[in-house]
Amino acid sequence: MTMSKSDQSVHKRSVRFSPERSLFDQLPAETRIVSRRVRTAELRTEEFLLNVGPQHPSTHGVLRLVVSLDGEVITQCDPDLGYLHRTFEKISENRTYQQIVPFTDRMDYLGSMNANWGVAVAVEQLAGIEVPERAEYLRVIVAELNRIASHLMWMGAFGADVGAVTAFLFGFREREMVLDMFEEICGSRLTYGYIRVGGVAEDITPRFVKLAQEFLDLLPSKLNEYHDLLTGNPIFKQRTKGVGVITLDEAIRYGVTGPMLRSCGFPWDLRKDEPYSIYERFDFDIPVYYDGDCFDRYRVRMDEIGESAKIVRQALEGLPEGDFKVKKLARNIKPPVGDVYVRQEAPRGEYGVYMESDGTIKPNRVKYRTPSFSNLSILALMTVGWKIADLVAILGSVDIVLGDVDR
Amino acid sequence: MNTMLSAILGVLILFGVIALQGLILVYMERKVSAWMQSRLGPNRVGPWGLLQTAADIVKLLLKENIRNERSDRVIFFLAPILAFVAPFAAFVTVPFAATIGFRDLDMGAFYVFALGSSVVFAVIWAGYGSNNRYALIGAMRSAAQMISYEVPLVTAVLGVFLVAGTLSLREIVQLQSQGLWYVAVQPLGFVLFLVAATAESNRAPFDLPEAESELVAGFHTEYSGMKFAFFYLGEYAEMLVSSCVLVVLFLGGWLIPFANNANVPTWLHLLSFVSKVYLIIFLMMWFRWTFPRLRVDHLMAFGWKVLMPLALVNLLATGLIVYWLKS
Amino acid sequence: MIRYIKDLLKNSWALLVGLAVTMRYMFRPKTTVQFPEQKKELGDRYIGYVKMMYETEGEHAGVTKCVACMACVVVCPVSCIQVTHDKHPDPTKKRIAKEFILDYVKCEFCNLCVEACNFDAIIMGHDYELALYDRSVMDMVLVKDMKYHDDLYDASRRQTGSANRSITSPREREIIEVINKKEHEERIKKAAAQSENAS
Repeated sequence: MTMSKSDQSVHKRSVRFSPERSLFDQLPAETRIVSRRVRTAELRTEEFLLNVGPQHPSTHGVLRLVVSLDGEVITQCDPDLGYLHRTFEKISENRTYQQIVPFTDRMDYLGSMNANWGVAVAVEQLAGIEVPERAEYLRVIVAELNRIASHLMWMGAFGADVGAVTAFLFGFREREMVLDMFEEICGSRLTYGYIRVGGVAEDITPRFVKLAQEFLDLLPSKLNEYHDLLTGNPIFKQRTKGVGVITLDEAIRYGVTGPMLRSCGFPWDLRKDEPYSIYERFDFDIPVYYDGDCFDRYRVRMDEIGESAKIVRQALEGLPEGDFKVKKLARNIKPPVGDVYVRQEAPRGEYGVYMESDGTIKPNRVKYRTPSFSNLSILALMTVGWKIADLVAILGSVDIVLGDVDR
Repeated sequence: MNTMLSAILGVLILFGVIALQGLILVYMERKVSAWMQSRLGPNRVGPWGLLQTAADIVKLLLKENIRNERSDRVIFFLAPILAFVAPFAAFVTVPFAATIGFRDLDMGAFYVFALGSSVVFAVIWAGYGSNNRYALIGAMRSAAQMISYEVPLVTAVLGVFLVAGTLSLREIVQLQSQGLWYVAVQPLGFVLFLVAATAESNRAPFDLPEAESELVAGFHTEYSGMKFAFFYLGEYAEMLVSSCVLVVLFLGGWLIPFANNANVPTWLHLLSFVSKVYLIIFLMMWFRWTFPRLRVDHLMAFGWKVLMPLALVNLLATGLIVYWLKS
Repeated sequence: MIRYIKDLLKNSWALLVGLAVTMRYMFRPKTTVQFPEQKKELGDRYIGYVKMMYETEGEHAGVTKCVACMACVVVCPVSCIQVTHDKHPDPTKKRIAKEFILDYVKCEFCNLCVEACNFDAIIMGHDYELALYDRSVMDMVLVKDMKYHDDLYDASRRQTGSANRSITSPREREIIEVINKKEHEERIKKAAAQSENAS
């Protein structure tokens, strides 16, 4: 083992690997490699190349990271993507507008409701379809429940990444309740396809409302348990506080959105800043933290669970009577020529759909802007200078879904 | 010849008992973890899933022994054997009851700690011999960890030796039967020993050498079949031996609390010993299924900056009090 | 020094709080379900495998309800349905599906085909234990020679050796018991009226 380059202690905040890192980062790639060689030559050590993934317990799917190590310290980290690429954009261009929706389930499979919603809204805007009010309420309810489920799942996976396996099962247990609700309304537990063009697939049932109420009543006590188990735990704090810090400037430069951006101190949430659907009718807050480290990302997500629960409660109370989807909808929608870009706040960040119509029953061009991809792009910057154990924690804190990264 | 025969018989019995304990512990670990995670745990093989671990052993026996082509054949082969033999050999001096135990050595405690620390060789051999990068990192971590936890472990125990004035495990228990148990005399030492012993036997939250989420399986990534089973069994044997030592040093060994231990049948003593050991093991499992894993530098810092000073304070205070009482 | 001790105590307390959580769960009732014996209740809308409905009464019992209108074939996003048609044996109807094949390797369980069907011929069943060892048998022949057919169910039972019976969904029961009967009665009435007219 060589000399440790970072000075990290138990009680103090960790000092970063290289104080002039952002400057170092701006140098062209060739110089960077040369300068690294010079440094390592002085120490007479060899670089240790570790291939993490594509089969690895904590890469959350098939992500490959080529990591250069100096002892246990990461000097370079190159994410290698594309193992799960399924050409969903091209597939979408070869399907009718209604047929696209089931495919979007497979992109962000933990936030399917939001993925469906973006496409549905894009088609509706292209074709000028008015969605009934009840459908909008139902969309908000399921999307927010999906956000809770996604964050719970993330909490569990993050706990498992830092070694607390019990949190993993606790997260799954509560997520199961949300899945039961979704099964009740749309028959599926993972790929919902519930939000369709012109409304939702089917109306909610009284049992769904009952289950939702039970879940919302139970959630605060469960959240307290997670806080006891993880948030307060000194080992967990040590593992996450001050680890994988990104500044607001870096975050914006890399196009990071969602909870990751909000953990850097920028209260950017499309539900508030560009209220789509009926979000302006609800009273909720956007949790913001300022350190931009793993712990703050954790806290933002945990707080968001509570805020989403608030929205679901309000939406259930204010749910109007009426149709749950547009009554008369052509079997094959033919929107007029034009294009549209729809962006929404998915559990992982900004989810955008660009759709271009040429007047036929199939879109001419479809492009998905998925949050996981942009959020992952900053990984190479975040991990340099941290230890191999932190790599896992940092990767976990990004909350990637590989289906979302590769499409 | 006769002593030779009895020694071989004794070793066989010991091996049988330890292997059985290993099976029971694996089952217990699964049940405890399941219950803590509101699951049911193994319940298919045999009544209440009791034969699950036996089925696993059969599976491991039938599995192919895969060896990396470019691994070091000898070291790769020796590592699992040492990993199991070292903690197993440490049992020789553990007094299970007043009359049960293999050999009472004058330097019993020293012998146990020496063997316990030799497991690090097995881990390094495994990491180096298997020619795998994850395994190598795991092995390096393990070396650093075991060395830095050996010191506070022994320092924490020194207090007990100061009070007892002997290194023989049997005598330490006998001394405890006359007065208080050493957990009351040395509460800080007890806690330190528990933490350090958990770290020493590579249990979570100190399971860095095999950190599953980072290093796949750490030093035994390349092992399969029975060789893997040996590592697995070795880990539990080590856990068992450190719990035994803990019980002997601090919890009065085979003594039964609040009872006249002079005229109690031996099997009751044995029962008392075993239940104490299992209590400590349950404690270790409880830790494992609650806490996240420490990072390697935090682990070092915790060992040297928290455990070590406390152990030294404990030693100093004990020394002063013992000196004051004697003079 | 004081901070050191304070931190130590605070952290130890936080650790104990965490330990209390797991200890509490040791003795609580467990949430997992013993799968093959105990099964969770499925929602009414559960999407399992597509099932073909067929006439249960009358002279055409066992004949499929599918009239080969191709609505499901058109709507399927992955084109996993193949239907061939023939003349319907019942003179009051025009066409009937001769063969209806669903390729489960491709199917993505989106429910669009069932929603598109205007004749209640296909519905979503509640079966979900149809794992198979062989990809080539995943072509599920739902109709063969105009008759109801379920070889995939047979194949899965044969391959996995399980004795599980197929689960009837509420919708399926409804169709079999109510709608089928009503249709049958209606058809008898119609036939009677026709024969009256003829005579």
